[in-house]
Amino acid sequence: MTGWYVYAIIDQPHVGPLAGPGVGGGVLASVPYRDIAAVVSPVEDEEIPILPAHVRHHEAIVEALMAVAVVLPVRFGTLVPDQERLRALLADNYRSFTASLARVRGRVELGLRVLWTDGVDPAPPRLDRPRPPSTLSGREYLMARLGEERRTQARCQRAQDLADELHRPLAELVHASTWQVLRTPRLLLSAAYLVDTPGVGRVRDAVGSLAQTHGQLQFLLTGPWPPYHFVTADDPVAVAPEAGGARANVLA
Amino acid sequence: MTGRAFEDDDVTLLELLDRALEKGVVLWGDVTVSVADVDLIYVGLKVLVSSVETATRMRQPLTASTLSGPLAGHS
Amino acid sequence: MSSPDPTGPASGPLFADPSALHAFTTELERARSLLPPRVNADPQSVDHGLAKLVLTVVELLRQLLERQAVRRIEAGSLTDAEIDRLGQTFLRLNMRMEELKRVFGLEDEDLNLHLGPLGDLR
Repeated sequence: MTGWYVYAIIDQPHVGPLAGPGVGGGVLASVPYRDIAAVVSPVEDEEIPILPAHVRHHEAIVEALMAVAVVLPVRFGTLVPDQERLRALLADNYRSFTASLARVRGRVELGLRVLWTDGVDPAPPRLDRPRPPSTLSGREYLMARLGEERRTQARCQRAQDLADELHRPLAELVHASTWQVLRTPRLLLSAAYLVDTPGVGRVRDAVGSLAQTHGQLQFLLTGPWPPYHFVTADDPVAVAPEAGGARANVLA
Repeated sequence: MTGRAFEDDDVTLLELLDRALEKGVVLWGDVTVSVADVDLIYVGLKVLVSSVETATRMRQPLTASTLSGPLAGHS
Repeated sequence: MSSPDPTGPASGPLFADPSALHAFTTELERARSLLPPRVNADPQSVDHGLAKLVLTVVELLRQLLERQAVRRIEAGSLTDAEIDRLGQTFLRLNMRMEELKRVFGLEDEDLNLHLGPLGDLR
């Protein structure tokens, strides 16, 4: 055995018998530290190759754990050489893990992607690739680049404004969110939301409304996911108390 | 399986990879790497460029739009 | 979530326009291609990976420097002579990069770092 493959950190020191072998075929077990634990299985290989089947297997185990505990999913491929080191990692990060577990308790992650389609996207035409012998003067070349830069910046601003508009109705319905604008030219918005489990339907309906209003954008809402994007509780104090099941986000 | 189910699967797998490979708790430095040196260098580049751009943005005067929301936001 | 679905959360997306799924797949693959494809760790592809890496770095620097020059033009801190000289240099460098890309059979997409809020290099 070369190490322990780690799936998740959970909010209890032990977990009941889990069905099925782990990634690499070993038996699932928990390594406790005080009132939390890491869920692991022994592996023979130095490295677990990143194959879809393995990642799905990892995910299946994380999701099975979510049915019986509060879970912080660990990144795929995490191997720890021995249990002593794992216990030390749990001890070192105990307070952070406990805070994060509290933050995700009773909640799930939803993922939103919004595509900017050709009709809406003011993508500038690209600069022609200069081929020799080019008759462009140096000045002409840079002035063309300047024009391109200005259009890119305007586009960026437009994307930001649109993303803000889309985020506003959703911010009311979620506990926390993290987002990125223009991760690729056509991916206007990529967001992850931490949502109370009973509130998932409301978010789905809100996205449906947004899709109606913004007929030229395309929406993809996936989930419920384990809270991959919310495993570090940045600042617990920044989270406002619940009020009637909905909350406004601080720093939104 | 219908065509729709295949596409659902594709998209769901990509969303899963995006999460399980890039997010989640990082316990043990970096995860297992394949073509190791090339991977690490790419990651380093992205971090470098993000820092440059952030530094540039910080030098611009604060306007209503820069106050209302950074391009990558958290709440 | 009682029984885990090995393919991911329950039964597909919560909300999606069926006609858009393919576009999302393409875009998500593009978003993830910041790192070289790790799913197939092929030792033979190391050399190709290195050429791609080197050219990506050069492309990155070239575009950042061009952007810098453009900002200085906007700020009015370059003389006409400097603008012309810089422009010529960048133009030649751009053409050289096009040549190299052709030689290695690389497309713009192969070298694109998808820098997110920075906007793409291209």
